[in-house]
Amino acid sequence: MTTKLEHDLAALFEAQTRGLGVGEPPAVDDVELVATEAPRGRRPLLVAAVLLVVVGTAAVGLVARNSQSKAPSATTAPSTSAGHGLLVPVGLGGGATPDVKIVEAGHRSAAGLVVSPQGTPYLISIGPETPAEPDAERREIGGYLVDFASDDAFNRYALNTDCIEVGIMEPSRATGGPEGEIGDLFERLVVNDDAVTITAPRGWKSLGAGSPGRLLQLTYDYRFGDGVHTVTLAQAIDTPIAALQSIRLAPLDPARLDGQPAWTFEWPQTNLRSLIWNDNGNAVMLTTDLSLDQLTRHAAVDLQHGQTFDWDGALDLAPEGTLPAPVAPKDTCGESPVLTIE
Amino acid sequence: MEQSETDTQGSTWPHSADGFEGFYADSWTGAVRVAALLTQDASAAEEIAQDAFLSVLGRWPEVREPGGYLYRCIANAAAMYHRRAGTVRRKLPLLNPPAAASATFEELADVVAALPFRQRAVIVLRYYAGLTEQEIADTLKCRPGTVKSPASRALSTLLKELA
Repeated sequence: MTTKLEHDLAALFEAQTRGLGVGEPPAVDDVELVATEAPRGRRPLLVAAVLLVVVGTAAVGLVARNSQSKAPSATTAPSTSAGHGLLVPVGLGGGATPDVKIVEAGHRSAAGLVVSPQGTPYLISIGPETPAEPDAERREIGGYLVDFASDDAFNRYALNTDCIEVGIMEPSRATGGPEGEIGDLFERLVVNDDAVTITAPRGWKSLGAGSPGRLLQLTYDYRFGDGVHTVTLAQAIDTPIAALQSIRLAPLDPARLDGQPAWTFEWPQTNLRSLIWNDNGNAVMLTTDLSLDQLTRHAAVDLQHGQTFDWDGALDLAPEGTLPAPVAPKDTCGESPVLTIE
Repeated sequence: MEQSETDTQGSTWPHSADGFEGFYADSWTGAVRVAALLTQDASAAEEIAQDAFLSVLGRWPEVREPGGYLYRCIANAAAMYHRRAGTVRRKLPLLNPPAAASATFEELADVVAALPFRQRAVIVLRYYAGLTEQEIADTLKCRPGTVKSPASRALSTLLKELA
């Protein structure tokens, strides 16, 4: 049966291509001009096209670098009057000196988050190749050979290409197997050197993708009930929540904040919980020992777009976290990998 | 002394600049047809083929197997086209079905057009372009063993749909 089908396929393709009526290729003279040297004063179409390809490639690189350079530095700290709209706790005035810290994420990486129709979040990350986990097993999924490892929290799938590693993390509770949701994702994965594109399957939702930038952390005391709780407010400007490194610690659960989608997770081996959401394009993460209900109904609500807090001054004095040493890309690979989720 | 090597297609590497002309002329029609089968869109095929040749030309001095690299560029461009086209479903016209074809030939064209891109790419590269598993893996940037899975899924979908 299969042999007949294979024969029919070959015949079908022949019949379809016979009816195409392919024209002659564009003049070879134009192509030759590129391979040798174009006469002065003449700009053949194909020469212009080649230049566009080269310029276009450079532009892509610039876009990737620019997206990282958007992140603020200690010397060019974001100004609340510049429209970034960073959040600050209500009541935190200019005279306060809460603990402010800048944490910089690793370079040459990007991450994205997609949610299946069943509500399962899948974190997709790309970056330099890392050694396979000791207990990883090789599995064939969606046409790719990937390294699979699992623990109580996550199933992790790693695909290594010539240039980068593509990693997908799913909650261990997602047990669809290779033929399930994870298979759908790998089926729609296209790797082109250091550019990775995933077309979200029908019914899936993308929560964005991007490169991690600097994370501005503000730690303050929050009075709730009879107690005082330490709260850390972390914000990354113009960054999708997928780029927050912390979300790799534990699986995300959906939540609602002021009627809008949000996510929450519990930090392993602590009593801390984080609430994550997107605020005008900025990734926001609020972490404390309060319950989810207390977080969403009180601590997160008691934030406002700050006009009273001197971010510029605070960040000028803020210490920087340790920067991981960048891993040099291979010669054949681009400087910054690009992850696109469509 | 600079050494040259012979690639799997019999040409030498490094290539001379004027060798591109012959490659271009010889490969044009096949490139357009493969692009058409991958995208299922005849109108996009020539443009994709031309872009692919431009990519080959840009790497002509260094590329060892231009034919393989050309297929890879076409597959990449077709994948990008497929993503942009979204849910728009097209089917290549079927002007001259072979006389020996079964009654389900038109239906087969329908099912092939509806296959996920990666599965369609594998069967087009295998049953039209005649590539080996290794060559398909190189074209689609996966390992040879993993070509079998989308091929088998595609055939099983076709058999199921045509049953």
